[in-house]
Amino acid sequence: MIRRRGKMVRTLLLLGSAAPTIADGARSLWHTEGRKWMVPLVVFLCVTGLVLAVAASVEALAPFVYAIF
Amino acid sequence: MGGHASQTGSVGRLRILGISAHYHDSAAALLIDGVPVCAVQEERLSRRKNDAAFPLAAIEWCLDFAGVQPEQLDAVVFYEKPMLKFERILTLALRGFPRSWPAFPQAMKNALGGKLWVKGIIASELGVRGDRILFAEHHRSHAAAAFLGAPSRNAAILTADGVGEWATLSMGRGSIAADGTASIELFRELRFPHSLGMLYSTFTAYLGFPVNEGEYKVMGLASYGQPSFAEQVRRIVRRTADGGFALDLDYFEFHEGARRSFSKKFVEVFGAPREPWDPLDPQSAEGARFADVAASVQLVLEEVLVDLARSLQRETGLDDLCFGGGVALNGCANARILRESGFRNLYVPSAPGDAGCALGAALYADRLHFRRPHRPVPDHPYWGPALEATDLARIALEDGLELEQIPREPDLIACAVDHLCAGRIVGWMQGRTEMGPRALGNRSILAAPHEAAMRDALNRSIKYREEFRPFAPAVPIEQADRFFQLPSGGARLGRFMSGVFPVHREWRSRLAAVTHVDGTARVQTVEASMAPRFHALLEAYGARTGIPVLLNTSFNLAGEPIVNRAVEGYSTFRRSGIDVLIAGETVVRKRRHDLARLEEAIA
Repeated sequence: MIRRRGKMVRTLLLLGSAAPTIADGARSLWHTEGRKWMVPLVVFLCVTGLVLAVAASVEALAPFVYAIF
Repeated sequence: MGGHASQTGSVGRLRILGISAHYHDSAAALLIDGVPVCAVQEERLSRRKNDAAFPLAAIEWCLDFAGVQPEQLDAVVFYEKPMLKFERILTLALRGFPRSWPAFPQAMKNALGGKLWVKGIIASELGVRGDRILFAEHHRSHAAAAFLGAPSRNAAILTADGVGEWATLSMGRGSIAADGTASIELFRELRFPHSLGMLYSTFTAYLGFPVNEGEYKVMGLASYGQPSFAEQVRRIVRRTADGGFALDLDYFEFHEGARRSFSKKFVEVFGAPREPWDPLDPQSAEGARFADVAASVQLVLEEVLVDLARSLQRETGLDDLCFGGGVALNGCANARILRESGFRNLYVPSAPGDAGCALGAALYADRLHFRRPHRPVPDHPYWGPALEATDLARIALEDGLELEQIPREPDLIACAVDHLCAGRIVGWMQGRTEMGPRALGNRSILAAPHEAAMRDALNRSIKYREEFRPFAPAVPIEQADRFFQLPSGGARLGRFMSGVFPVHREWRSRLAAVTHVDGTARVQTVEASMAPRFHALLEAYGARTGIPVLLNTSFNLAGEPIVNRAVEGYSTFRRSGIDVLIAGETVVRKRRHDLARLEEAIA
C-alpha cells in the first residue's frame, strides 16, 4: 500500500529533487558537443517552470507569483 | 543509465519497479530477482483508454500483488530520460523559429509542468529515495523489452517508434554469455524528425484517424487499395547511402508544432485530407483514394523495414531478430521482415509499444545496471490482475439473468463450444489480464469464424467500428499450417498475434469472418503451455466443427480499454450484443427479450 502524502510534503519532495535534475541536465548538455550554449537557457526555463509548477500546486504561494516576476 | 543506485553483484532479493508514463499507454512492471512478477497498463485500472498519466494505480497494484512496500524497492526505473527529451523539444523549437513558436508555450507547459520532474514525482508519490530512481533511455527500454524477454541468447535488435528522446529507430545486437551476463549494444540510430513512426502517424492523421490509436485502421484500410501513390511516398522518404532514410521535411509539420502533422505540400501531392467525421467507404472514389494512400504508405514502410532488417542480418550474421517499438505492432510489415530479411526467427513482445517499456526498463536495470545474471523471462503475456468472478454471480442474479456455475473444465469448455456452435457471441474472461494491446485469450470476445455475417454483427452490435477493419483468428499452434500459409518462424510470430499471413485459399470461404479482403489474417497461434484452457477450447471447437479456429477480438467497446475485472466484463456484456459471458467458471446468458431490446436499440 502506498502511503499518501500531503500536498505540501509532495511539493517539497518535488522541489528537493529538482536541483539534481536540473544539474544532471546541465551537465549532460555541457558535455555534448555544440550544446554548451543551451545550458543557461535550460537552467532558466527549468527554474521558471519549477516556480510556476510549485505555485500552481500550492495555492498559498499563488499570490506571490506576481511578486516573483 | 542515469541515477546512482548502487551496483550489486550479489544474487540477493532485488526488487525493481519499471515505469512508463507521460506520452501514451503508461504502465508499471515489477521484477523480483530478475524475473517479472506482474505488469499492467494504467488504462486497465483507470478505465481511460491509452491513459498517459503517471501510473499510480498500476504501481499500487503491482506492489500489492507482490506484497512489497515502496520503501523495499531497490530501484525504480523510468523508461526514458526526460531531460534529454526536453533538450530535443527545446532544440527543435529554436531550430524551427519562427514557425515553431505558436506551439512553444504548450510544449514548455507540458514539459516544465510535470514531465521533466519525473524523479520528484516518483519520490513524492512513492516515498522512494532519490538515489534509487534510475532512468533508462527510451530505445534501450524498447530493446531490453524485445531482447531480454525473448527466448534467444544471441539476437539482432531493431527498435522503431515515433520518437523517444532523440532516437526514432535503433539497430544493434544483444547477447547473453554462458555465465548469464547480458549485453545490449545499439550501434546505429536514426534521430528525430526522421521517423518511421511519425511517418505512419502523419498518414494516420491525414486519413482522419486518431494518432497513436488509428494506425491499425490504416493497416486495415491498406488492403482495400492499390499502392498507386507509392512513388510519391518514396520521394518523401528518401533513402540514404548508409541504408537509412530521411524524411523530406517540406511535407511535414509535426516537428514544428502539434497543430497539424502534414504540410500544404503534402496535401498538394496526396489530395485533400479526410475529416474524422466523414464516412469512409473504400468502394467510393474518395474512399478508394484514401485506401490507395494507405496502401502506399504501408508498402513503403514495409520496404524500408525489410531493407533495414536485411542489412542488420548481413551485418550481424544472426538468425534471430528482436523487434520492439510501436512500429513492431504492424503485423503486415513483421510478416514481410520474417519472409524477406534473412532472419529465421522474429520475436516481437506482446507489448512492443511504450507500455512494454516499463518491463523493458526494469529488465535493463537488472541485467545491465546491476549486472545480475540473466534469467529466462516466462514466455507469455499474462502479467496483469487475475480474474475474480465472485461478485459476478451476485450482480447477474440481481439483474435476473440466467446463471450457471461450471467448476469442471471439460464441462465449461463444452458449454462454451455449444454457445459458439449455436452462433452466439461469447465474452471470455480467464486468468490474468494480458499486457499489451491485444487480447490473447484471457480477455477476449470469441465467435464462430465461418460467416462474414458474424463479422458484420460484431462490428454492428459490439465493436461499433469501421467495416474495413478485420478480426483475428486464434488457432492451436499444431494446426496453424493447415489453415494459414505460415513461413518458417511464422508460428512463433503468431504467438502474440504479431504477424499477418495469408489464409489458404481453400479455407477462405469457411473462415470468412476472419479473412481480410486481401485473403490474409492476423493469426494467433495458441500453445497449450501458454494458454491451456483457451487451447483446449479451440481443440474442442475443432472436434465439434472440424475447424479449430475461433474469431478472437479484444473484450472492449469502441473507445474503451480492454476489460480487466469481471464486473467490467459484465458491464460490457450488458451494453453490447454479446450473448454469453463466461468469466472463470461462471456462465451468464442474456434473456431473450433483453437481446431483442438491445438489437432494437442498436438498430
